[in-house]
Amino acid sequence: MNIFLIPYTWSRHLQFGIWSALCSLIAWWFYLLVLTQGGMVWSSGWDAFVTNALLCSAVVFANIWGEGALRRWSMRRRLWKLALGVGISMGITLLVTWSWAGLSLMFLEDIGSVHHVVALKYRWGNFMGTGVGVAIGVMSTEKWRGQPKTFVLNYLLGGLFAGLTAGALWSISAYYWVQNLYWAGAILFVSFGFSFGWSTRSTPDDLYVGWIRVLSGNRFGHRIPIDAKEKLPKERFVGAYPNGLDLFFPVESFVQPLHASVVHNPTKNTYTLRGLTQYHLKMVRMLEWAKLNYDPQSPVPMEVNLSNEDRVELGEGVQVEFLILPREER
Amino acid sequence: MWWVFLLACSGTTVVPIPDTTARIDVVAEVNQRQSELALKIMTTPEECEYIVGGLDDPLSRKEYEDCLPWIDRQAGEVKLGVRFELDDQFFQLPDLNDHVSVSLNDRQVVDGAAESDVRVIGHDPVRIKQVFLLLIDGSGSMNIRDAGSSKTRMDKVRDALLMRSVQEAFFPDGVTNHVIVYTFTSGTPQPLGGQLTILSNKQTYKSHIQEHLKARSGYTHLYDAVDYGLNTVLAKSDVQTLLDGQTKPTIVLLTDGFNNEASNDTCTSNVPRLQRLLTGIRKEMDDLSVDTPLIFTVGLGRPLSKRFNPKRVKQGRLTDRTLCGGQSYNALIDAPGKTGGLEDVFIDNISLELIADRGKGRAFVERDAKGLGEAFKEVAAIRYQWFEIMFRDNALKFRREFNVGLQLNNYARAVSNVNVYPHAWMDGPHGKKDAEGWSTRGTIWHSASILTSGLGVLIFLLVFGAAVFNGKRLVLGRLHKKRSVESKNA
Repeated sequence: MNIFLIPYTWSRHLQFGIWSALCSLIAWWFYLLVLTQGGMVWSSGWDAFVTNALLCSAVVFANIWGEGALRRWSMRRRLWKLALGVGISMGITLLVTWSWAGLSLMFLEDIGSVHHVVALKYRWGNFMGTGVGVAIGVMSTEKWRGQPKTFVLNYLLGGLFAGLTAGALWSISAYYWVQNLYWAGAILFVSFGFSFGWSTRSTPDDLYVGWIRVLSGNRFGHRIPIDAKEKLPKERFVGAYPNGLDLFFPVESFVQPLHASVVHNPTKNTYTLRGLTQYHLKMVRMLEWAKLNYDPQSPVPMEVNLSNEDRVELGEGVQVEFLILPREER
Repeated sequence: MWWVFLLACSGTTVVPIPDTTARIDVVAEVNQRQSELALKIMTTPEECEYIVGGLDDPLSRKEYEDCLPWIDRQAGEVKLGVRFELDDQFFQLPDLNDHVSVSLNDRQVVDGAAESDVRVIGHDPVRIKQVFLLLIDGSGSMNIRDAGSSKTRMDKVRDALLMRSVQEAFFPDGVTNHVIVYTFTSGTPQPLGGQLTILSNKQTYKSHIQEHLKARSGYTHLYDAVDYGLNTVLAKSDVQTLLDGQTKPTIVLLTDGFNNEASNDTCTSNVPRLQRLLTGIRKEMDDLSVDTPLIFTVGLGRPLSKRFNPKRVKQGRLTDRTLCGGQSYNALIDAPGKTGGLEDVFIDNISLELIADRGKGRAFVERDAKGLGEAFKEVAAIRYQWFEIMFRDNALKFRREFNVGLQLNNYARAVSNVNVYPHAWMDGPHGKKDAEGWSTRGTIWHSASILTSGLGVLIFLLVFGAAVFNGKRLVLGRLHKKRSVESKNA
């Protein structure tokens, strides 16, 4: 995963899902290779554990390695976290696999204890266990301080969702869609990876920062970040002062000395455009616009929340845009 | 650490089936009480490598893959390689198609049904000793010279029998075969040369045929000739001494017409006669052993019914409609004049097909000496070292472990069964269908193609958001500076 290839759009929410699906697909092929090319050295009683453990490992790897790539962790840190996450998830999977086998033996018909029966009824415990194993494995490598209250719940529900989705799709494809376990196996791995990555993680917002970028005149392409460090608010000013302002324009363009400012509230992670002049100041986005000329009758300046790619008109003929780009962008 | 656990718990009584995700018992259970021959199911690569004698060339490699077990759960098909042993020695058997029954979880797999089927293919053929009994039509019609030919029908038969390749087929190197020749018309068939002569080499065979093979006159007692050959000639003490339990008696019947016993015979009159003969042959064949005869038939001329299939005629249900092959039920076989009768135009390939089918042989219809020669070459008996047994059934029956039972129905008793343990989560790649619609062994390359195309799609999706974002900005002109009005005018 590469933060420069993930724009701050809806697609950033799918990146971990797709990345996890990709790693799961590779794991499926590797597993198939082992199974079909004589590598099946364990007894059939271990089939459920081996399948689930491999799936766990692939998805935990995808999530930890993906975040490590985005945050530029050192190799040592990545490997340490991987070992911890994979170890915990496999341990939980082992526990759940045999617990489920015991429960099946007690509460399901005799057939439930047979390792070779293809039926969701006898397997959904394994799927859910895999989901919980991955959730706890990934969660255990995260920093817990400062996380929202829903942190644990989000992971556990995401894991259960992934397990049940993958189980349902596996069963439906095995018995209805493709009616074979070859494609159903691939669907199982890919759908589990995608469901877990999509439901539990998004590309972290703290890796992005707002920018003001000039769209007109000789200063086209010039841009400044509104980067608030250490969670402090940040305000950057746009006007005609060549010195002292964060972004300035020629006075001939009727941009006032102190025309507008953009404020970043790190607590809510919002960006606000504030009008500081009576001259022309307009925010434009698709099917929507807002005039922010300063009203002398009002005790406070006009403000509007900015979204990615909003356009702002200042004075006559000057346009800037608001962009949210990776913090690493320079 | 996990692998140590897994290895410690793995059993050695089952082995993975190559190219699949299933396992199979290493040793199939041979039912000793019900078996005269040991039916051994080959489950391991080592056994298959041993039986094909190494994997040095592509042909051996192909045989090796045919020998290995294979399961295609999507198609509901299973394939097993089997061999037969007697006192721990290989025991060769002839083509076992229709002689093996397969059961799945103790329920018989119906052969040739809509949902289920069984196919048996012999591998590694070997020649065995044979006694050939040639029953050649010596009736008056064999003296006829067909249009466009300077030779009589009997001349064509003689030429075919004297072809070098046919002599090689009857007397191959390394195997001691014998040939007995009879001709038949009306009444009892007569040995060629007037007395029973057992021909044991090419020289005596050649001179005997050249000297004595001539057409006589009279009707064609075809069915009686088969019955006589089967029950009288083969029972003669001279012949019995040749049948030492390792020699296959092989009857080859050659005719140019119909069974014709009287001047007013029609195809309808042959129905009860043929029925009687087929019943007699069946009785002989029900007690199949190594020295049970095979019956081949060779017709010289134009077939009465080109598309006749003997398998469609149920046992004991022979009718005049079947035997007359679309001709009038009352049409005379031998009408007065030269072209009035059925045998002036056709040969009775229907009778020949039915006799060969009951006699576990094959029927041939040829028009010239070359074709006859090819037919004679085919009658040399072949036995196989091992067999590939395939069956298909409802695919849902393979969604848990299952037991496959194999039983040899003829030749000798042999019963065996093996358990197959499929993976509960995944399957290997399915095979392609061969010309007859059976699944062939799949390869891992198919899954590699899924992997690469899947990775392609997912990588595309990974960069799709960035591509759309930048594409939209390009279209909206935010990536490049617009040219000003002044610069345009300039």
